[in-house]
Amino acid sequence: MNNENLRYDILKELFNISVGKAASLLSEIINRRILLTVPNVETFNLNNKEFLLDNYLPKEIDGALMVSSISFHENLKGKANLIFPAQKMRTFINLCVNEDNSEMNFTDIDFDIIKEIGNIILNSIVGEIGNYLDLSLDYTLPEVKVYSRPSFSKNIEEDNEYTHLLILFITFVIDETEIEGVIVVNLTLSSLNELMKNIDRIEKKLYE
Amino acid sequence: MNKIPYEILNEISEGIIVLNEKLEICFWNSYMENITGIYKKDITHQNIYNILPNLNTNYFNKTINDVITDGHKMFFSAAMHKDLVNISKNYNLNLKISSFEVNQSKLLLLEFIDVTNQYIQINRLKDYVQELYQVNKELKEKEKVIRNLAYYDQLTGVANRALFYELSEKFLSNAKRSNCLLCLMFIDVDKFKKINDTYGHEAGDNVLIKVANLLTEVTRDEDIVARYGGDEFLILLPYMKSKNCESIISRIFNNKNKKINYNGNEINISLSIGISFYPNDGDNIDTLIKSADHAMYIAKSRQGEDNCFYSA
Repeated sequence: MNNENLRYDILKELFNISVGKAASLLSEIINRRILLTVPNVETFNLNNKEFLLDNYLPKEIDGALMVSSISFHENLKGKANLIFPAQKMRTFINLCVNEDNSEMNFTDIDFDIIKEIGNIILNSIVGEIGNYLDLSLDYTLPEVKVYSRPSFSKNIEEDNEYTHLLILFITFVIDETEIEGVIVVNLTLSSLNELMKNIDRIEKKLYE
Repeated sequence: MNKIPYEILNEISEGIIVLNEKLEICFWNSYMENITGIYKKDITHQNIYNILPNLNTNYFNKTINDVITDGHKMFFSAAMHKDLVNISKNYNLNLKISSFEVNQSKLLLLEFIDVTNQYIQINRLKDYVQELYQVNKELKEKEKVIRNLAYYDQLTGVANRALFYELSEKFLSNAKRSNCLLCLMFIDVDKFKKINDTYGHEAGDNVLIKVANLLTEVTRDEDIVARYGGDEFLILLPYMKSKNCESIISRIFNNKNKKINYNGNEINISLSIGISFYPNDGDNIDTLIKSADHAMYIAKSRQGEDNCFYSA
């Protein structure tokens, strides 16, 4: 296996452990069987080409996106976005509160539910990044917004502060329903390099 | 602890609890006193789980642990934690948990945010949407009834004169565009006045209903059967390939059900039919009706029952 692949495999493994913890917490809260997995991790250099979110989301679903975002600062600067198709989130909210609502207009109550879920999942991801950089990250509770697909991609590209993206594919299985989404973490080049350096250290330990 | 910040927290319109690392209550603000009926003086230094036992769940413990060790901020929504957060039946509360440090000791801040108004408003909106849906449904049904009243003959259920004109104009334009024939039949019930006079108006009405049903039955789906007035009916036959209407006329005249039973009397129905064609007999609907009407009179003037005449 080449070095680059191994590096991403280690990252994937680390994130799977942390989302696994998030899943068990969510599972206890809503009293349903929940599985969260990160089947793939990629990085993206915004300087090289245009970021097209559609390449990372399931093709068969159109429409709006529901995005929970947290920003972290001080020791490490970045922004993490948990993105799911809004249509799928409606199913998910219904499962959480045992309702059968097909309305695509989200109320403040729905947003609060997404805020709680986003909080748990993003805590696990960003917390893991902090752990492996050996940094304590300070961040707020997620802000939840509904975006159209192009406007969200544009939003990510316009944030000039960050040059790199860490992209985590995330699969959410709740009872029999599967929801595919993506987590996009905006990072500066130095933060990403720092993260990769720490992964390399873990890799070295594997050979010791 | 400094008294001033606590006095400020007492003025805040959300429930505030401050706990130490052992989860003992250090502060409980006035808003908490209001919504729980539990007073700070009675519970200071007591463990939070003794006072709010619903919080004592496995996941809440884990969360509190994360907040203390990693400094995570956590959020529990009122919708997902009806039992956990809703310490009072009348309130829907979101809960935010964060930690802060004072004199090197960690404290936990629990903020209960009242979202009851949101629930009330959303429920009101849901009721309103439901009401609108009902009103809309009723309006649509009424609209359908009104449309039926405006376009269909109430006695026989076939198209009335207004609908006939509306549809026939469309078929005529279509025939003009595509150089097709259009056939118009003017049908009159023979001796209708005599039927009314002999058996009464109810029998007459039954005859009209029977004729309308019969004409509808023998025509194609795209043909229009209309009651023109009194005992007069019109049939518009678009997309005709030739000026031969024999098969439909035969289906009308030879129909076995061309009679009614009224109070034990069998009343046979005889019809006179006049036929006109676009383009030969006129290039507008009124002229075509006039030509067919004229042909019908010629048919009626003939001897015997069930006569038909083609306009010249």
